[in-house]
Amino acid sequence: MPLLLSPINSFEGAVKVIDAGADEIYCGVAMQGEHRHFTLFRGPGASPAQLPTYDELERITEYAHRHNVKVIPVINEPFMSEALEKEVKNHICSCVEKGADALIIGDLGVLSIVKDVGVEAPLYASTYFVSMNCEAVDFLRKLGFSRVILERHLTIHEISEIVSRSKVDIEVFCHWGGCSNINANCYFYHHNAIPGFAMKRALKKAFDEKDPRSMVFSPCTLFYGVYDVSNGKKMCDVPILDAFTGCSLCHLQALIHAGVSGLKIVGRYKTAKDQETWTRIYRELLDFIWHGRSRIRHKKMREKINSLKNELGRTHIEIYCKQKRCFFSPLFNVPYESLIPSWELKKARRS
Amino acid sequence: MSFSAQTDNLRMFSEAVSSKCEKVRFGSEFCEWKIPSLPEVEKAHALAKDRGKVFTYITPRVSDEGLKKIRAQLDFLNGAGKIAIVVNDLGTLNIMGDYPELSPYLGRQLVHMPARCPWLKMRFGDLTSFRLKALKAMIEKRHVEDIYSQTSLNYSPTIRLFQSYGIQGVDLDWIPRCFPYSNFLVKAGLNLFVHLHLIPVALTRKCHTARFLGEKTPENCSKPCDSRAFLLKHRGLTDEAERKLFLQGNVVFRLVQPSRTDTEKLLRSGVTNFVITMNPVTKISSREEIDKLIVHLKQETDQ
Repeated sequence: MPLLLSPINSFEGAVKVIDAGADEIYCGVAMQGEHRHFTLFRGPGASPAQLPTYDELERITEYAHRHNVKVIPVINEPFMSEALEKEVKNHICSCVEKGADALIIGDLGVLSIVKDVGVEAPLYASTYFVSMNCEAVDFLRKLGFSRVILERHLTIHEISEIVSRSKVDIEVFCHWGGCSNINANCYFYHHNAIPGFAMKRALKKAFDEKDPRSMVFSPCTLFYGVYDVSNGKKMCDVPILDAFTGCSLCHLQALIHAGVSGLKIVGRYKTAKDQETWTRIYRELLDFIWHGRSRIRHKKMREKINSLKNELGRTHIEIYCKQKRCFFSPLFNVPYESLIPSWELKKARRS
Repeated sequence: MSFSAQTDNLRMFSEAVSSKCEKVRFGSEFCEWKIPSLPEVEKAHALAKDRGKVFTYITPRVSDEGLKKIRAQLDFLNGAGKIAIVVNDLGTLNIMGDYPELSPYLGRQLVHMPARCPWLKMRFGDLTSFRLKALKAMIEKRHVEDIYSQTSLNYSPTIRLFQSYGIQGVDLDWIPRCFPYSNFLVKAGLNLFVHLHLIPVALTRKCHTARFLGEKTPENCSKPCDSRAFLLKHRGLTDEAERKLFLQGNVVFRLVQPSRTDTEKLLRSGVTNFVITMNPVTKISSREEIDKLIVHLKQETDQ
């Protein structure tokens, strides 16, 4: 059965997700030192997605190890520079010292530091390496990674192909964080890093207007005025960059059959309650599918998912189900279709 | 100064080879479904050879299916002499060892540059911590800002690792705040190629243009991006010139216009290779437009 990996950003969250059935937990820890304000996506500097101190990490590892759960700190920004070397080195050593069972790495420079300080813990290749084919996985394997986390924009068929031909464990994202763009090549930094006044205002407006999309705070889900470059004419206002996905309950059976080793829930920035709820839901469905042994009939599967959906509440159904924001939906799916008048999109397409 | 014209379109490529640029680049930089067919690559290579231009082939991020196509093209190019291949995927880099005649160059997608972010200045505004004493906070802010202006290659072990895979050069963007740090890469022995106009801000496999225009599947996409691009406006977010966002195919770009002072700054750091992209956003599609730009830049810098 694939391992279920849950995110945490506090001791309280760790206790809850372990209780809910996580096999492994992963977390960031805020890097200390002069460059602690350097944050790209969710780190390495301080952000609400990070544990504030190494002591908190130590407390968590002690608790998790008592329950046979592994703790995996993320050192995964796709960036490294000479100026950061000393602090990142200290950061890695501190994480290992506090009992980390493995490290998630997202940059080749950081990997060289890990090797330099002689870390013996297993190394997992982050999604920031954008592994989309068997050769990329092989490249990372040769560098010493024992698990590779695939890019989120792959289809189940592509994942299955990679799993069947790879010599390392393959992990995929299963819930939240199905970004509109390829993570490592997206510079719409927005997770408590770049928002600034204008973006906060735009997002607050969406929230105040009870826009169902406001659950996803990012520049790629905003409405943009779209102008044709050739004639300068405005075509329409649409969230043209919005391809956000965030749920794979309905595809879980296919993922298990594809043979992935790990299923990751995103949400280090979420509340402990959210982290716990989603861990419990995925745990229940994973066990249900696994113990069903062969393929579970479609009707029975639907009933099970629907029973879980009642637990998820209306918001989830409004955002993810009705707008078809499923991980592994067709690449050219248009989740914003239901958010704008159909004639507007038709008119734009005709023009 | 040396100029390369880049396109994924054979028609525009024939314009590029007859222009004043010394090098020509062919291939899809961002989209796996726009990888040219093998006959197209053969034709482009022959055109470049006829006109005496240095030929470079560009590859995007790819799935296994895309990698199969690239393999076939590399098989051909490997037998055609010493050719530079711009690599944007670790999988492609992994197979480059099978092609001893080809020289891999790192593409923009394998180099992380935080300064590509359109809202970086806003971030700098938020950096100062009021809990710290003013002077200390200012020094810290300055140091952090410096890092945001570097690339993921501004670290010697990273460069060494890529060089162990045969990497000889790197593609970078026209971001003046990063120019002082490019000298570090030049000193490490890398050939730098700076793209003059378009900074890729976001890249997707769920092509925003195709979805907007109602295309159904990537395999059957009619490639509207060959002729169309969109300007995206959002009040407050894209108002300033440097934050103007353009959508072309599966990439969101920022458009920048090279200035004389910045060109001189870059030349001083040892960078002499410039890339001109031919597409609907740059509005450069003909030989005349390429030549005009080259003459203009050379005159400005007296080169």
